[in-house]
Amino acid sequence: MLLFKKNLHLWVRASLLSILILASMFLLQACFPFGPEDIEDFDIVGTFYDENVNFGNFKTYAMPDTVVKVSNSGVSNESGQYDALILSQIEANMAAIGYTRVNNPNQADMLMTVTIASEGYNLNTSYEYGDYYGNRYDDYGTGGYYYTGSEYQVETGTVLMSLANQESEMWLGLLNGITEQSFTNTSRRLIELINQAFVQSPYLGTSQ
Amino acid sequence: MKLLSTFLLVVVLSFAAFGQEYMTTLTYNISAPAGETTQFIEAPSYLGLSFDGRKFLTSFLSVGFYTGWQVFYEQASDAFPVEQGTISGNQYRYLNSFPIMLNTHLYIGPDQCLRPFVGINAGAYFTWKRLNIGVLQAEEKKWVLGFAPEAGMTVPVGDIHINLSAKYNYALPPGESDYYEEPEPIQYVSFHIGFAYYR
Repeated sequence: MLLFKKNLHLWVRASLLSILILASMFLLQACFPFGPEDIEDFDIVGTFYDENVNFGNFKTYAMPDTVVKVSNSGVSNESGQYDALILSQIEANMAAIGYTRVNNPNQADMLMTVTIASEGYNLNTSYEYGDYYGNRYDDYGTGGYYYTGSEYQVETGTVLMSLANQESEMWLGLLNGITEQSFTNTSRRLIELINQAFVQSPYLGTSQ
Repeated sequence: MKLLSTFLLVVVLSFAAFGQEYMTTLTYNISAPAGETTQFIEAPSYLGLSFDGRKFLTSFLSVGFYTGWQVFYEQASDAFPVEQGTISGNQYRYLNSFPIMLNTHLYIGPDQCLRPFVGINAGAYFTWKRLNIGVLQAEEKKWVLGFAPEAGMTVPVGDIHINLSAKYNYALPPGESDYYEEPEPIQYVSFHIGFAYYR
């Protein structure tokens, strides 16, 4: 006790410095970006191709007007609200790299098919998601329907674009993201993601 | 001869000043990734804290322990190659490092003056590496052996000392990894500023 009193000024200074350091840490922590903030931050584009194929050898392709839907409830080819947009955007990108769409698949060098797959996905929330969703849904109460504190069921959608010739699949474009209700936003995201799939596939339309 | 004289002078001065038994430090750290770690995260980290306690065996030699925490974060949106393809999207990369180590240091001069030191820390790192892309997450937590050579100084300011030092942190690669065929070491240079308390 005597030693403590004797060195009281040292303890005070040390404590103040510790508080200063810890306060700095918390201030910096406040500036720390905690992962995805918007729904499109979850969007990803994957493209895969057969490295032995010379895509410059092909000039024409056929593409069905139907987009196949795959979900937990089965396979369907019923018309969807984004089908026309997806198909036209693919056609625009294919035209831009020199491929011509033909109606008769027997006269085409390649076949482009489009599939949409949807599934539920458990998004595990580590602390950054927990903070984000916790704050967002705080009005509903932390024990409420929207906030479980650990994981969230989200609906993800995947658009698969497959380019094949009569022998094998040569290119696969995969767009994945969380689905949402807004037609405008979803349309914008689909256009951007389809464009990105072609941007990151520079070998399409060219001889390697 | 001149070098020997200087060395003897330093040793004599060091012994003359011997009187402190312990030193503790608490520092705020800024770190920069190094070596292979820059392939995962390039951005410097401004979130770090460390603490060490040292016992002086002689006036110029101490042994002790060191622990701390450093978190690196980087958001990237570059497309990156994978086998037969490319993936693009927002990536959120995190690297946490928690060293728990024993150390030994050599000092020059008395603690009442600017006092340079060099040392080595050796022990374990708990490393926590995470990559989020889309709704996917790849995460790996590992205990690995490692070491951290260190150089620095304490500077008397009134009744306390300011501690300025730098460490090269090297966490050895784990024996196996779920994501890497050949796991890589985690390396970063940490710069420490804080206070040292001699007792």
